[in-house]
Amino acid sequence: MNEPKNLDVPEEEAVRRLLAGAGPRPDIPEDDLAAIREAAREAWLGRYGRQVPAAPGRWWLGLAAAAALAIALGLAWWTRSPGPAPAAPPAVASIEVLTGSVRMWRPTGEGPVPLSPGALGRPLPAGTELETGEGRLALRMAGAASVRLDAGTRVRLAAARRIELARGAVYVDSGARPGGRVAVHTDGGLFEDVGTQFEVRSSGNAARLRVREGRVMLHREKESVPANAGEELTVRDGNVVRRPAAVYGPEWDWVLQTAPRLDIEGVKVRDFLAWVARETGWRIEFADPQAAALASSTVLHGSIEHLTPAEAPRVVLASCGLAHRVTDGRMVVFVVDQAH
Amino acid sequence: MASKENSRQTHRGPQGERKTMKFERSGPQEEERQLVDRLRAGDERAFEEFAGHYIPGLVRFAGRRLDHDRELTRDVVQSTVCKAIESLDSYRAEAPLFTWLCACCRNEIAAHFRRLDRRPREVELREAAAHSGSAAPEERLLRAETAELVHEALDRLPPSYARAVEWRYIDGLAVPEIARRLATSYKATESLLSRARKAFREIYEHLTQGPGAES
Repeated sequence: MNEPKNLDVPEEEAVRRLLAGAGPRPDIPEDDLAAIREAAREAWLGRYGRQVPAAPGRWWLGLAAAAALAIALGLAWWTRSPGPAPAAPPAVASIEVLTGSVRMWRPTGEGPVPLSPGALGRPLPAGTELETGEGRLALRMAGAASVRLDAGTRVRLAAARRIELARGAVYVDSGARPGGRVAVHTDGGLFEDVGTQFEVRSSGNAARLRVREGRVMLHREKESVPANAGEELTVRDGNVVRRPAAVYGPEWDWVLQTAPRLDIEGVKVRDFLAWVARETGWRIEFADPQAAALASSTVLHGSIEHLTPAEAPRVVLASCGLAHRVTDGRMVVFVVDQAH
Repeated sequence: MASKENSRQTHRGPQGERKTMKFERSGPQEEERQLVDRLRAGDERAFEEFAGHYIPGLVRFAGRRLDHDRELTRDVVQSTVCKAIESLDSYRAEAPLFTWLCACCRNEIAAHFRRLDRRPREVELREAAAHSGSAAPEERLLRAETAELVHEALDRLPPSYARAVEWRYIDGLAVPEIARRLATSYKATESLLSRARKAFREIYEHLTQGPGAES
């Protein structure tokens, strides 16, 4: 057989040029497709895939009669007692940041339900269970504390101030507000916040606490053990081991990456730096009074939504005639010499 | 998008309408309506067809609008597809299924930015200025934009059309080979290619009409 001869050649040539110039459509990473497909399948099965086929036989007549009786009784009860519908359990947290795959079980045990960015701002009632796969999550608790879940974490939100950690790591920043304090329960004990920033990591029968700011109490069967900023407690086989812990550095990177971004519109540089210090654990210092004055008098406009608290200073300060360097947990801010 | 297509149908007059009906009602769009019916009936193969064809196109669609942020794109598409499945009963086949999915996706993207309370930048950060010096040359950028539009047009074609024009004009297969792969006649393949090219050009021209044509 020959190639076609009767085609509209200019039209065909135009299409050929466009397609040949563009090349094949880019491939999509397999794991992304698999994740989307899995969530889609879950939604589809939930909506259309579990239809019960009509069963043979005539037993349905009896069932229909029973159902009619039940409906009649139900209607009679309902008309006699028109009370309000049962109240939904109160929300104890809402979703603030969500990356990667995260699953949720409702307080009724229903689940898992894959969470997507559409879930941002979603209220979570007491009893909700959350599991991060390779994803991470930041929650705003009802008492205003910021709680972050590292990848590979499973928790149950028992109440607005109590989280049960089955495995993985939880970071709590209660902002030193008494109303925001959150306790984390693990097999190794109950870690109770006394207005602070801390991380609890649990795996098997071991639990580790690292305190970044303030103080945390570990309550066990017969004792209460305090831990202060810069300390780490490890609970294993019934023993508690205390050692120093860095309040900044690579071990806190996951917390930075999950930090809710600061809206810098109209914010002074000094307040921006206070946010950076809180999130990174760095101590902020000004090289001279001029740098401090500039930080106090400069108001920011714009957005840093794609930058972590560790990355943002480079971009923000450069726009203000300032720069910084970080050494041993100290972030020194100085005025850029315009001559150089 | 939907309103654009509706207006196109309205303004073409009786002749144009008839042509459109031939393509959109009795051809691929009828297949899509049937696909949706099968999805609603819980047909496993329908789900595989749906996922295999529409999800990759939707990922490319969202990726272009989200600066190719892989993680965000995946999350937005996941959310879009789940919500679209929940709303399948509202799909009336008045627009191609992919167009309907894209509309859902645009809503999801808009909702994402609303949630973030995204504001326009008021200051040019130095980092952005530094990066602008290494931007791709204009011609390269234009080529990339054209390629993205071509790929989007392919994603918007019915699967059989997209496959045929890719085999023919990207892989360089001869018509007899395509006919063999499709297990159909040479003449039917010619006819399919002709319809596919026409549909491709219509969609591509529509996409390149400017900002009002497609977002």
